[in-house]
Amino acid sequence: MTAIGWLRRRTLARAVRAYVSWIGRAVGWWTIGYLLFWVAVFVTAGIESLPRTDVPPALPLAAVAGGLAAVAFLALFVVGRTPTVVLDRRDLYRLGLAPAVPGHVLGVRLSERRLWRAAVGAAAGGVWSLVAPASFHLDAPWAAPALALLAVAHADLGWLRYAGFRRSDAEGRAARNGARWAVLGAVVLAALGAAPAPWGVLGLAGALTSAHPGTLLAPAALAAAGLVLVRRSLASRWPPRFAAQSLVLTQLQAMRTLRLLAGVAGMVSGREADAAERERLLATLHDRPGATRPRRSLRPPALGRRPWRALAWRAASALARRRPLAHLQVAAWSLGAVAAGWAAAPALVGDPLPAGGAPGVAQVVGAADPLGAAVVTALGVLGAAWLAARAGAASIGPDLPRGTVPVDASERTRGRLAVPVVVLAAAALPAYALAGALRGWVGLGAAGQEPLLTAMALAALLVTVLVALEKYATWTGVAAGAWEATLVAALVATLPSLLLGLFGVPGAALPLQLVLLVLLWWLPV
Amino acid sequence: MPPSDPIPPTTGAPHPLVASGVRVRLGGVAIIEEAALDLAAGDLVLLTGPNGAGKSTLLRALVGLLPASGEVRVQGHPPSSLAAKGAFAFAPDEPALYEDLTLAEHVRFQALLYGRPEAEQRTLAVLDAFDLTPKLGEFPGTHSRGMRQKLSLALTLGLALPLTLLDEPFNGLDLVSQERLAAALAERTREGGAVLLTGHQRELGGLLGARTVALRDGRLQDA
Repeated sequence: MTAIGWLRRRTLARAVRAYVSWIGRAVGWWTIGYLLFWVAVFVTAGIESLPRTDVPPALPLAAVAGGLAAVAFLALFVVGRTPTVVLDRRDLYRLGLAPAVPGHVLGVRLSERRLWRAAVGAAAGGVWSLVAPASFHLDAPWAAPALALLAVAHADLGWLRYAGFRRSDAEGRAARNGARWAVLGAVVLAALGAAPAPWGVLGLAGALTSAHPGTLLAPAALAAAGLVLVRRSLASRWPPRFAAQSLVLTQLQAMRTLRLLAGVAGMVSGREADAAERERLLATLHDRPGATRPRRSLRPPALGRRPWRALAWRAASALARRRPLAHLQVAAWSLGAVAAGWAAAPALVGDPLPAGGAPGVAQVVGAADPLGAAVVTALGVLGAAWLAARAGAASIGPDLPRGTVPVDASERTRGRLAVPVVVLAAAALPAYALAGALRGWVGLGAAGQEPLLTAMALAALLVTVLVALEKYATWTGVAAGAWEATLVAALVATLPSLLLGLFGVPGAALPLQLVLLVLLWWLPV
Repeated sequence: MPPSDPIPPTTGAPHPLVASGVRVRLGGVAIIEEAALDLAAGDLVLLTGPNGAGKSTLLRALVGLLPASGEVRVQGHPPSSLAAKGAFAFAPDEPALYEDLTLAEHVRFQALLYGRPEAEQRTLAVLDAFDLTPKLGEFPGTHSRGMRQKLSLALTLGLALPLTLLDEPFNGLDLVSQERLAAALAERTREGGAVLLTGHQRELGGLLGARTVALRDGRLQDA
């Protein structure tokens, strides 16, 4: 046994013992067994309750399955920039630098990945084996092992793509060529599945449509080829960027784990500042600009300005430095929030439901049950408020922890909300165009009789949502983007319309909304 | 480093830090027992003690980051009040930085938050003394432990507030930077600021010319 193997066996055994003990203490193995038993019962009952179709659906299943398999393997050509398996800091420093064959060091991690992929593949194949006879009049007893083998091959070829990515040395070229030929072989085998018998049995996804044990040949051959190629790719040298990217990926993983654990424990978690650090780490991982210096910077406020300007500038900078996809996301949330708000705003000023027009949900319900109409109306307002909370969370920027900085609560709230308010205001006009259609679809009544009052109601609702979001996130320490924070903010902001609607006096919602806004604003949080 | 505005010693003005009967309990265990400390303008006090003695805990309690019983006043105000927060600057042992801001942005952001425009030039001067000027456009997340420590110290000293609290400020600094930090601390006290710092080395007190106070078994003793 190699030294690496001995060390690995010891550390793995210790880790497994600790894990088993921790799960046992935290959840309880009897509880887990009990839950698994019922999961098995429900899955079996669900499968048994599937009605057997009289006529199988007229689908070219072999061609569809082969096509999907081909697409899955061809997709490997667009990945490969980052390692699919990493070493943590300890392993990098202790084992990665040791005079050992890289394949021995990384072997356990690769096996772990293969095992997980095989388990998922086997589960999917198992479900297919159970469902196929009733729904497709097919016997597919080898689907589970076949999909497990394909999943293993896919994992190995994914690593191989990385091992050969933009490398000009012999190992890199060998890995790249190996991956290329293996993927092309997989595509050819997938196409073979559509051929008539006996060649169809040799198709890559033949096990999904045939009961012949020969259907395992192609997946097994591909998996074996993957294993051999991966072993050869790690025979003497590591991929050049593996260590650096491993460090970054383990940092990202640690951030995710910390946030998850903190969330589970109900502690301070997911601070928005993490997002900036994450962006920086991703830039480092992919060699993009922005890893050490920002890609763009906004001009800071002049010295002597109020503290809220500094907070607004920080939020705007954070937003400007995010990727275009994040900007699109903010725009979509904001547009959706204001459009939904325009649609729901008449309900806030107590406009009656129209007698004519398209029969929306609220009208249909309201005709028979006024209370039901009030609930539907309130749900419409709640939906708009939640969208506004999401838009706010996406643009509110990093938080300012309640520490030793001499900034009072209202100054902080004003600074952090400046950007979301501007973003929502910018979305007002385009959203107005969307609102008409939305209003008819949701059934919240026609446009308000008092446009100015309606606009005021909308503004009050949106600002109340944002203030509630900022205060709640700061008070509890949860991220503004967390479900908890956005839901609480939306619920708090819609309380006036919800309660007054239920009590039959919706016209008083706006004044109460304004009172709520003032109260929230002056909360010393 | 450019001199900051000296704080004029006014007769009867409250001391930058007055603490008495401070007790801190964490998880049911008493960490600090009946600590008393009085820092006048121009005082430089070194708090020493072995690892785990509670030095960092005491500092955090004094600035209101940990719940404590007893009486603590910063310039006559409770430490959690806005008036007190505007009178002290605290650098924790693990630099607390804004990872989304560059070094230059940290400097401006800090000056704006504290409402002290003059702090920007002072902080930039401290960063220059620490040889960090070429790094002003970079994120601190890419920097070493020592460089992050220097930024944290520069932000704290650049504010030049009546009370400065530094937790293990010499950790992670190279020798030249340690000397520059010592000079900056001496200058801060000459200008009338009070400084309370922690450290392991008792000889540090002599080198800095600081009054040394030892924390043993949760109690403060003059060393």
